[in-house]
Amino acid sequence: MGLRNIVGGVVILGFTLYYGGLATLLPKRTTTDAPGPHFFPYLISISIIALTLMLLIQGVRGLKNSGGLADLRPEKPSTNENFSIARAAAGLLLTGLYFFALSMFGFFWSTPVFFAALMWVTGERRPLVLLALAIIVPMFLFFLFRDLFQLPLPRGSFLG
Amino acid sequence: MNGDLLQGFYLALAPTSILATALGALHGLICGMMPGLTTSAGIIILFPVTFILEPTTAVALLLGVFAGGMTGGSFAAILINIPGSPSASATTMDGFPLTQKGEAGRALGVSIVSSFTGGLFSFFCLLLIAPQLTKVALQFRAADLFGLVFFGMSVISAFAAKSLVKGLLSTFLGLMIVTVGMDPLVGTARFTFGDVNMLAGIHFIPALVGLFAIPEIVANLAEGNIRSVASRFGRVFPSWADIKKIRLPVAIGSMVGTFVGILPGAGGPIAVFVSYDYAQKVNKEPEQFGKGCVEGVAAPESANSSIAGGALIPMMTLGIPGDPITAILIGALLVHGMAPGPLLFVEQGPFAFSVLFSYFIAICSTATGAFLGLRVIVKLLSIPRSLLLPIIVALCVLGTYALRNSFFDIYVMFFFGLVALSFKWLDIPVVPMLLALVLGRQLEEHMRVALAASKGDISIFFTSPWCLFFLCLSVISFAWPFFLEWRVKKKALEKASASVPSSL
Repeated sequence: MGLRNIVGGVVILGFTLYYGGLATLLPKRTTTDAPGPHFFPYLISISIIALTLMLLIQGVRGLKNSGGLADLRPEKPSTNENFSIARAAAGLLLTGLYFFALSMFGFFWSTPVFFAALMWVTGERRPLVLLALAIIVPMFLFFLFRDLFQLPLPRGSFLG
Repeated sequence: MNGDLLQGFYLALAPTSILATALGALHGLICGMMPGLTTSAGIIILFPVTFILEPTTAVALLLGVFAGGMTGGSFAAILINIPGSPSASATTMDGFPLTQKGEAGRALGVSIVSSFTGGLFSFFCLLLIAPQLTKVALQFRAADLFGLVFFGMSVISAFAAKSLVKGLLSTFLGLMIVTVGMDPLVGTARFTFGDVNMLAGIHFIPALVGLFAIPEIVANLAEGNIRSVASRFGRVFPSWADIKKIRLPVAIGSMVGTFVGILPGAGGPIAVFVSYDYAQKVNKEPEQFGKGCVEGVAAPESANSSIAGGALIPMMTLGIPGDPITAILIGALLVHGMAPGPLLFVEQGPFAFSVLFSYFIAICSTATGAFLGLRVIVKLLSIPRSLLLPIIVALCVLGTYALRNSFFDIYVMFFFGLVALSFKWLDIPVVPMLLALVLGRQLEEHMRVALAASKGDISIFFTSPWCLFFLCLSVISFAWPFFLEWRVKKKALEKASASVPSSL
C-alpha cells in the first residue's frame, strides 16, 4: 500500500493545489464580517493538503514493506479462479463507450449493441441467445420506461 | 402531532402505498439475495420509477426495498454460503451448516421470523424516539446545526475507514465537489469553468449511482459469469421449539441492531457480529455456534433488520443519514421536494409519519412475501450475470438521465464510478464522500450563517451548548480508533510479558 499511497497522495495534492489556486480568484467578501464564497474552499484546500502530506508520510514509511511496482497491481482473490482484471477493464471501457454513444445514437440504438458486447465479454457465447436477449431486453426497457412510466429517454444527435 | 400521526397512518395505508411497499419488498428480497447486487443497487435501479410517483408512494416503494434487502441478504448466505449483502455475512456461520445438514428451510424460516421481529422492534423505537428527538432538534440554531452535521461527518470519517487520514480525505474531497456551482448564500458561481451544467452544481444522485453501481458492476465483471444453484429445502415456518430457542438471541440482536443503526456510519457488519458474539456468550451451549444452530442465525438476522429502523431515526429527525441506503433515501426525498430533518415533522407532519408507518408495512410485506414467495424467489439465484450486468447499467443510465434530462449527469455518473474504483485501489472508503455530498452544502451554509450572525467571531461554536456537545462528540469519535488501537497494543504487550516467565 506504500507506493499506492504515494501515487494517490501526489495526484490528490496536485489536484488540490489547482483547486486552491482557483479558490484565490473567488470574491473575498460580500458583506461585512461574513465569510465570502472563498472561505469554505480555502478551508477544504488547507485540510486536504495537510491530510495528503500525512498520506505521503504514511506511504514513505510503508515503502519498506512494499512489494515494489507490484504493489500498484490490483489484488486478485485466490478463491475465484475465474477472476479476470482484463474482463473487468474491457467491461468498464465498453460502459464508457456506451455512455458516449448514447449522446450520438440514443438509448434505442446504442443499448442493444452494448448488451450484446457486454454479454459476450461476460462469457455468453451462444449467438442465438446473445442476439435474442440483446434485442428483446433493451426493447422491453425502452417501451416500459417511455410508454408506461413516461420518462424521457436519452435521444441521440444522429439517430433519435 | 396526534392528528399528523393519524393522517400519516392513513397515507401509509392507501392502497397505492401498500402496493408500492409490497412490490418494493419483493424487489428488495431479490436484490438483497443476489450476490453482487446490494440493497443500495436495488434502490438505485428503482430510482427512475419514483419520479412518476407521489412522494408518499415513492418513499413507500424505497422503504420496501430497504426492508426487503435486509432480509433477502440472508437467503444466499444460508443456501449457497455467499452473503447477499455485507450485513448477512454472520448468517453464513450457522445458516450454511444448517443447509448442509438438510435443514435449509428451518434456517430460512428462523431468519425470516428473526428479521421481522428485529424490524418490528426498531419500528417501535423509531415511532417513540423520532417525535421526541424532533422536539429537541427544533431548538437548534445555525451553530448547533453546523455542530450536528460536523459530528455526522466525523463519525463516518472515523469509522468507515481503516485509516482516519483516508476517511477524512474522502470527506474533504466530497466537500470539494460540493463547492462546485452556485454559492449557497450569495449565489457567486464557483469552479464552473463557464459551463451552464456546472452552475447547478453536481447533483448527488448521479454521483451516488456512480460511486456505488459502477464498482459493483466492475467487481461482478471481474468475478465472471457464476451460476449459483439454489438448494432444496423442506418446511419453512419455524416450529414452536425453535421460536422458544431464538427469543433471547432475537432480543439481543434487535437491541444491538437498533442502537448501532442510530449511530451514523457504524454499519451493519458491526451490529451483526456483535449480536452474534453476545448471543453465543449468553447461550447454554456456546460450542454449538458455528456448527449450525438456529440461535446463530436468529441473532445476526434480527440485528440486520433492526439496523434499518435505527438508521431511519437520525435520517428523519436530524437529516443525517446513518448509512449509504438512508443517504439514497434522503436523495429520493429531496427529489420530491421533501428535506428530511426536524422541520419535516412540523411542515409536512402527515408525510413524515407516513414514512414511519410505511416502514412498518415494509417489514410486514417483507415477512409475508418471503414466506409466500421464497421457493420462487430463490430460483432467481440462477440468473446469469451476463444478463444481469447490462440490465443494471441500462437502468443506471435511465435513472440518471431522467433526473434532469441531461447527458452531463451520465458523464458525472461515469466520472464518479472511476473515482470509486480509484478509491478502492487506494483503500479509501466512498461512504464519507457520499455523506459529504449529501450534507456538504448544509455544513457550509450553517457555518457561514453562524459566523455572519456572530460577526465573524468563531467563539460562537464553543459558546453554544449544543454545538459544543456535538464538537466534543466529534473529538471523541476521532480519538476512539486511536484508543482502540492503543488498547489492542497494550493487551498484546501484557500477553507477551506474561508469557516470558512461563517460557523461562
